This record gives sequence, C-alpha cells and structure tokens, in this order.
Amino acid sequence: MTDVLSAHFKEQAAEAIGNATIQESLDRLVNFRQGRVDAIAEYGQERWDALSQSAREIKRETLEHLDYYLDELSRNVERAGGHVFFARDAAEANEYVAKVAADNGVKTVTKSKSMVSEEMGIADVLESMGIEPVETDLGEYIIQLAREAPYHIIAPALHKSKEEVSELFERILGTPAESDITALAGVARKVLREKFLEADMGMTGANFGVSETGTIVMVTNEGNGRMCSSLPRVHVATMGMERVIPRLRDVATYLPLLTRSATGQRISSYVSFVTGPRRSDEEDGPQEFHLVILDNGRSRMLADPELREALYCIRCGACLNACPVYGKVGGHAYGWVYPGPIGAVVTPSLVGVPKAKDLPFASTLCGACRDVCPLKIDIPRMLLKLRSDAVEGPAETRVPRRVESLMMRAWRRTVAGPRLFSLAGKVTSAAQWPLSRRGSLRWLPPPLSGWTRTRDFPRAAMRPFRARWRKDEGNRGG
Amino acid sequence: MAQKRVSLFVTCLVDQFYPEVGEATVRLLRHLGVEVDFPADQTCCGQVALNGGYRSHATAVAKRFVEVFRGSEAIVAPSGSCVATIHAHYGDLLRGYPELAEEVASLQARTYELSQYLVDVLGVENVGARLPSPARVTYHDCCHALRDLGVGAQPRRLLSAVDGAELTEMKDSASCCGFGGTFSVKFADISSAILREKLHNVEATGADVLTAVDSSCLMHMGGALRRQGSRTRPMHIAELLCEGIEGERA
Amino acid sequence: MADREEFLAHIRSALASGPCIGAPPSASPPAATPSPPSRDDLLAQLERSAGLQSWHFVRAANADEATARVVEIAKGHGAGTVVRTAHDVLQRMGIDAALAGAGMESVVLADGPGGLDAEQRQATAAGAAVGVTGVDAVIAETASVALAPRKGMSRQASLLPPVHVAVAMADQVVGTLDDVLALRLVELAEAEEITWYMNLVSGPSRTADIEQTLVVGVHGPGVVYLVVIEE
Ligand code: SF4
Repeated sequence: MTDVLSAHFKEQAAEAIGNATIQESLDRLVNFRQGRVDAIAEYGQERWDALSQSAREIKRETLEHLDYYLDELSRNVERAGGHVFFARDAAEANEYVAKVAADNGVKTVTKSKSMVSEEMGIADVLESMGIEPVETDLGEYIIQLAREAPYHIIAPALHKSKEEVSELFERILGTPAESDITALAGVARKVLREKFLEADMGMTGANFGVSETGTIVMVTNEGNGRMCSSLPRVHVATMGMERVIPRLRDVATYLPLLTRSATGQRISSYVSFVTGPRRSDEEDGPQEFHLVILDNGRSRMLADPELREALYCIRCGACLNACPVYGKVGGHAYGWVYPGPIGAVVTPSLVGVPKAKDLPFASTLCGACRDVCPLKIDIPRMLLKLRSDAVEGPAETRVPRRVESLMMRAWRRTVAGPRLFSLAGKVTSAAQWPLSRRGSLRWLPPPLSGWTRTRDFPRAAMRPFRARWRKDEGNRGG
Repeated sequence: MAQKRVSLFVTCLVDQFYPEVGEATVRLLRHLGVEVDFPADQTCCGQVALNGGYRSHATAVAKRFVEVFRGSEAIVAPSGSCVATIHAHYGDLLRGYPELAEEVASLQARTYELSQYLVDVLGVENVGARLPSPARVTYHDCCHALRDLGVGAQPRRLLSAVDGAELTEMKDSASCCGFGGTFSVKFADISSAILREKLHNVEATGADVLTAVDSSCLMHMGGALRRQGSRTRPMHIAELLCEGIEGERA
Repeated sequence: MADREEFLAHIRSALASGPCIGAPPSASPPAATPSPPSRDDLLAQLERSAGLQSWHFVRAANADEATARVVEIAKGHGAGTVVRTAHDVLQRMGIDAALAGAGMESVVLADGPGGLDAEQRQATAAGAAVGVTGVDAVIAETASVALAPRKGMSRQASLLPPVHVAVAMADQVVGTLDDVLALRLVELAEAEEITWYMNLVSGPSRTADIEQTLVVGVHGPGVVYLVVIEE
C-alpha cells in the first residue's frame, strides 16, 4: 500500500501555504468551480436534483445488498471470459497483479489514471520486479516523473507550473526546454505513444462496475484509457468494491453527475464499456481481462452506519474544489492518495484514525463540500463522527489528548448550570483585563497564541448579558 | 393576531462577549411587538463539544437544553450556528434517548435564527431601522446559517429595507471565513490564509460595515479587521437593525 | 488470498450493523423523461451539441455527398493512407474507390484473406493520417458517437490516427445516453456472446492537465468530424 504521510498534515500544509507557485495553481481551481456551476445551470437545477436524488437511492440500495451485486458482477465478468479477483487488502491485490504480469512475461505496463491503483501502490511493486510501469494520463505521467503523489483526484499535476513540467521533461526525457503547453503535451504524446505500442499489459481503474452485464465503465478525456484497454495483450482493471452499480442504464444517471461535477463537461471525451476481453471474432483488443475488486478497509466503512455514506463517492473532486482548506493547503498536505474533504473522511477510515489524526479536525465544517457533492454526501457529519472516534472512541481509533480532555471536562461542568457559567465568565473577564487594550487583546498565551498572531481577540464583557437582563426585567416589571 | 412570545437563547458567546447583541435582539423583538423572556438556566448549545469530538459532553448539554427550553413557545437566537447545531445535530446527539425524540423534533421546529424569525414567522422585512448616517453595508453568509438553515435571503431583505444602508454584495459571500471554532487555533495558519482571502473580498466592496447573523464569524473577521486597522466595522445584524428604532435602551 | 465466498461473507457481516444513517429514502420519483423529439429536432440538437463538443459537424444530403466530403477532409489533412472499418455505410459510399481516385490508399483494418496480420494492422493504423468509421448510434444530447468494435470493426481506426471521421445515418441518431444503453440491452438479450466493448466518443481527445489549459489530441485523435447522411 502507498505510504501514509497524513500524520504530517500541519507541516505539509504550512509548506503549501508558503509556496507561491502552489498558491497560484490553487487559485486556478476557480475554473473547475465555475465549470460545474455553468454545467448544472445548463442541465437545469431541478433535473439535476432529481438525478442526484436517484443516484443516492441507487447507492443506498446497492450498498445495502453489496454482497449480492458483487457476486452478480463477478459472475458476469467470468461469463464474459474475464477473471475476477477479490482482494481483502492492497497487498493481496498487488500480489495478484504481479502474478498476472509474471505469468504473461510482461515487460511494460501502461497505466491509465486510477485512484485504487495509487492506493495499492502497484507501480512500485511492478518496478521492483523489473517491469516498467508507465502512467499515461498526462497529469499522472508528470507526477510519476517527479516521483510525487497526485495533487487532486482529477487533476493530478494541478500544482505544477508549465516551467516545472518543462524542466522535468528536460531533465528526465532529455527534451529541449519548452514554454508552450501544447508542445509540452506533444512531447508526452510522442513518448507515450511508443509505450502504448510496446506495452504487454494495460492497467485501468473503473469508474463503475455494472453487475447486470459484468461491464467496467471508464471515463477519460485523453484516450489513454482506450489505449490501455485496447492495445496490450492483457488488461487488468482495479476497482474499489463500492463502485458497483446494479444496471447498465444506471450509467445514464451517474455519468452526467460525474463529468459535470468534475470538470463541467457535458460528457467526457471517452466513455469506455469493457465486458471481458476481446470478442472471439474481434480484430483487436486484449486476450485476457482481469478485474481486481478491492476492500482495503472499505468493509469497515460499510459496517459503520455513520460512515457508509462516504462509499457513495464517485470521485468527481468537486468537494476539493469547493473546500476552503484544500484551496489553501492543496493535495499533498493530506499525505495519502485521497485529498480534500472526501480524503479527510476516507483516509482515516481506511488507514485508521491514529495514522491520520489531524485530518478529521482540519476542517471548518463549513459544508461547502456537501453543497457541491453530486451525491450530497454529508462530509461534515462524518468528520464529526471521526472526531468523536478520535476523542471518545474505542482504543484503536483513539488519539490521546490529555490536557484538552481535562479542559473539556471542566467546560462541561461549567455549562451544566448558570451559576458556574457566570462565575467562569467573570474569571475570564478579570484574567483578560491586564492583557487588553481598548476592548481587545493582541496577545494570548498558547494554545490561543495562534489566534492572536493574525487577529485581535475580544475581551469578555464586564457585565454579561444575563446580568443586564435582570436589570432590564426589573425596569419593566417595576 | 395573538401576542407572539419568544424565549431568547442568547448563546454563550453573546452572553459573555457581546451582550450588546443580546440587548439589541431583545429590543428589536419588543419593538416588533413580541414578548421576550430569558430562561435564566440556559448556558450553551453544546457546539463546542460536538465540534471537538466530545460527543458525550455535547449530548449532556443538548439534553439540558431541551429541558431548559421545554416550556417555550418559540426560541430565537442571534446565531445561525447555534440554531444549526440544534437543527442538524440534536437528533443525532440524543439518539440514545428515544423518549425525547418527539420533543427534540418539536424543539427544532420552534427554534429560529433571528432574521429567520423576523422574516419567515413575523413576516416583517422593514423593521423601521434608520442609520445615523448613510453607510455601505456588506453581508457575509455564515456557513451554518446558509447551509444548514437556508438563511440567506432573509437577512438581505431586512438589510435592504434599512434606511441609509446601501447593501453591497462581496465576491464569494458564501465562502467560509476560516473560523471553524477550535480550527482557528489548532490550524491557525490555514485559518488565517482563508481569512485573508475573505477580508480581501470584504474590503473590495469598500463597505463601512460588515454584518452577519453570527457573532462568532464576526469575532473572527472583526479581530483581523481590527488588527489591520481597517475602516470596515463588524456589526451583528441585530445591532444594525436596531439603529434608529424606538424602544427602551437597556 | 480471499475467495469469493469468503469475501462476500465478510461483507454480509459488515452489513449486519444495520442501515446507513443519513440516507433517507427519496420522497419523489425521478423526473419524468420528456416525450421523444422528432428527427429534425434531434438533428438540430445534435448539430448544436456537436459544436459544443468540438466536432466538425457535416450534414450530407446523401451518400455521394458524404463520400465527396470525406475525400475532401482526408485530402485536407494530407493523407496518404486512410484506415477504415468495414461498416456497411462506408462500403455503400464506395469510399475506397473515391479515395483511390484522389490518390489516397484506403486500408480496411480487418482480418481476412489477403489482409494484414495483427501487427501490420496496428502499424498501419498508427501510421495513417486519417481513420474513417461508421457508428452504432449517435447521442444528440451530448454529441456522442457509440462505437462497438466487433468483426471488421477495429478498435484502432478511431483511436490511433490523429484525425477521426465518423459517418452516421440520420436514423442512427437517438436522444440520450439512456436510449443507447437500452438498445444495447436489447441487443445483448439476443446475442450469443455476452462479451462486448463499446466507446462513446464525444469530441477530440483532450487534456487540461498542465495549468488547466486545454490541449486537444493528447493521445487519441485531436481533430474529429461527424458526418451525418440525411437521406
Ligand atoms: S465526496 Fe462527493 S464531491 Fe467529493 S469527490 Fe466524492 S462524489 Fe465528488
């Protein structure tokens, strides 16, 4: 599995905030936001809401009978001549893919963008076997060359400027410096075209797995998904077990939600429907098709009624674009495969809260993510649930915080009645007195010093409202 | 029309830090003919504990809240996020008390954010406020008021009717100010970076007054405005709507 | 290694914890679908959306006009070799003769007596300037061309050359994606082989992965034509 660096969220966030190139690239997220708004307006809000509602319904129903639909999906893939492997974790999935590659004497693997394969960390495994894994989505290719993790679910190299890309190509591919973006894309096209033609195995993700027909649906724009699923002898698709949908026609429900939310496109350039390997009479296409269905912690989310909804996610990335925190700290801060609001839910859920202890707390809970989510996933509510797991949950999810919990216990006693509450107010007000200047405080000791670095803090009132109210009542009642 | 009665839930922040906002709320409601009482046993809605992950504490506070406001006809608070806590989370928090379920539902239905109560319940848009001198006013959509309660149009209607107030929309009025309770302290750098962008949008309007329905957001934005020596003044909507209306001073 | 039964049993035990919290069942059924539009409406809608999807849209009154336009397009792109699928419509257009008449070679990417082997087919497709295909259906709403490769219909003709020309008959135009999927299900119910592959192509290959700047033709064709024969 790909290493989890989420424990370093704060340092990684600080780094991004201090990096002008990254801040500039994050400012460009406005294009995604605007694209989505325009695309929904064109589609019609009412129609959109109805679609969104049916999509939720289908997911709810599917997940409630996930065993049934996965069984149906896997049997249909097999009937179509494909192989299915159920992997409990990333290690099992990697082992299987490695075996398929070894059995087929594979030398080069072309990969189309897939979050699940990032989660598995399959590229490293293949590389250690002496097999060349080549990312073929332009953004993924760039970050593969840079040996970095994807920055955004649908725009992996969002944070790279064209100068950085040019330097990277120059250093690794030996191509001349280039300031034109079209030309840079042309360089990648040329290099990758050769890889496509020589690859013996193609790996792709799966946006949806249709159980009714045993079909994997892939949504791409560049055409690399078509290449990976058409040219090499072997096609291996990996999917998270929650990506199953019952009926082929359900694709018509999810596809507009996905593309319009993600990039504001009516539809992506290519949508590929893969049912098994090539047909017996087909001119081309892979001779073998494998589908790897991955759990890797998803069954724990499924088992938690408060987290199950996160499995509705279709990975459109809209929540990242809307999130004020992502908009400042970017993708790498989150320290694993899934960044942004959905990452803040998925990462602790899959890798364990203690390994990603900051993520559930690194949110203002503003709800912008839920607003834009095509599945209306209530991310803030799930963050609260994960927070309570970290604070009050069972030993394996708890993160010790002694001082804070003592403070909270004191707080609870304070708000348990008006007497202590008023007293606490008076104490605060008195304690603040020496620090304040014209009604506000410019400096507070830790842990509040973070606030006063950029903001004044108000001084507690000498006479709180409740004291004034009594007087007020007295005046009236007199 | 029967006499309207409301219980004021002043919220802990207003009580201890911004009592003028509480006073303005009372004055405004009385000015509009509403009878106001103040259940003296009230303290907090539990939001702090809930957001911190201290669900059991939040549950205890929520339960207490239900008991304190049991007899109230309607509950009004000058805070979107506190009302949102009650609306969006009391059901979850008190799930372990099925005997309270009905009471919680009824409490939620009777609890209003101030501008929501004025516009949706009283049907008032012009409260008769008049500013001492003309001022440009910009309105920040507090996240919970907007997204949990659907409060966005109500305050704008009320503000538009204020004599002497020129309501000017800022860019991205619905984007978060970066407060998020303890987030603003635990992740102070991120919070400050979000805030910087927000204030940029505020100041670009050239507003004299920045208003909102939540003292917490105003404390956050106002704290930075003050630090920067900005001429834009933060002002809770209750105070703004009280300008120039008749009624007793506290 | 987990086998299917073990994996599914684990899911069943995860589900035993009860239903999801926060997902209330929908109150209202999805909005009704509008009544089917007329052929003219569909074509008009297609023309609009084709433009938005960056297709070069060509209306041809009949097969002859379509042939002439395809030859013109290929010539315009300086094609020496044009690869194509064995779709009937291309046969009827007499496309090979027309291309030959204009000095271009037309190669059908199909197995068969005297044909090319797999390796040669791939090399030819990769070297060709233009690929011409028929289609299985066209979606008016999104200007999506459905291509289902099978015998005679190579996957590569629409993928490897930098220019793709898709030729459709007007009666192949349907309204929505759902229409195409419904048709597919009907075909599948009658098919002997349940293995299939299909691509919806909705304009040129594109990327915006560098600084969110749009570039077309990154892996697939960067220039695409949709020719609709109206007769
Ligand atoms: S949580 Fe919603 S908005 Fe975020 S990626 Fe998933 S589907 Fe898209």
